[in-house]
Amino acid sequence: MPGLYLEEFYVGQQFTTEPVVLSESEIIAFAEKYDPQPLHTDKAAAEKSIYGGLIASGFQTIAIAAGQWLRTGQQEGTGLGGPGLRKIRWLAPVRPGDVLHTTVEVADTRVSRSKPDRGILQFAYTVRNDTEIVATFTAIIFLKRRPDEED
Amino acid sequence: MYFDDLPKGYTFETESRTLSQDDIIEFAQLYDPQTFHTDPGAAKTGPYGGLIASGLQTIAVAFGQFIRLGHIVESSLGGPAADDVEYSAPVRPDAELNTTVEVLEVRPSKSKPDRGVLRVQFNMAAGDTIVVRFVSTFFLLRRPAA
Repeated sequence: MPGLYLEEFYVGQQFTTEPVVLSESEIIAFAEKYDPQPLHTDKAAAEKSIYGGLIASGFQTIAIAAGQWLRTGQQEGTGLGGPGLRKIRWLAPVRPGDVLHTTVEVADTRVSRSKPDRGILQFAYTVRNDTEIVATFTAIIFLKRRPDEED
Repeated sequence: MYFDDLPKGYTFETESRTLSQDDIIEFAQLYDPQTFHTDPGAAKTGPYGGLIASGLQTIAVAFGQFIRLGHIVESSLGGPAADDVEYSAPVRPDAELNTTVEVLEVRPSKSKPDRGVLRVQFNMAAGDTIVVRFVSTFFLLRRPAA
């Protein structure tokens, strides 16, 4: 199994994803389904706004980051979902053609008290467009322990 | 509706929405490629006993339901933050999802008198079960002078 178990992560460990270019059609497609505000779906309206053009839904930005992290394969087969997210901050607009990459840092790791076969990690995500930070958030993730580590 | 129209405690109720198995798989293939979101066969023997929606998709659905009410189309200046996102219960294909949005706090902007800050609680339910909760903060314009 290619993914890391709980024990192989440590606080302060950092990973950087491959970059992804966000297209205008992807921005519109996501927003039409999930965030149908003119800033995200209507180029003409967006151009008249304070943003001067189409911008991505913040929910798409964080979803892209989450997908980029999963594609690193670091929790492939060992991830068990998670109870939620904390501290989502949208810091700068994301526009068509922006090149996004994400840094994931391990902020906390502990064994689950109720389920000894797994642990709970906190990953702090920083999403950048080139060098500019566009969004940050923390995800809480359940992760399998190495089988021989169980009590 | 504008900042001035929304006191603490005001609650919006959205229209229902469902996510089909195809909706769930399509989103997850792009943004959350874990087998319990993308592969119904594998998901059956996985940790959730069947395919479930990505948590990221469910919060986006909830937010979209609120936007579709159309109440803040003219007044919204975007949201800088969301917090306390809780995936309280799994969201399965074809569950009927209903969302309430309750105003927790209203604060006029000190630096820009034409707007204020709203903090709201999203609660999405499938039947009687709360499935997703989160808090969202955004800026709203005040009602323009007549």
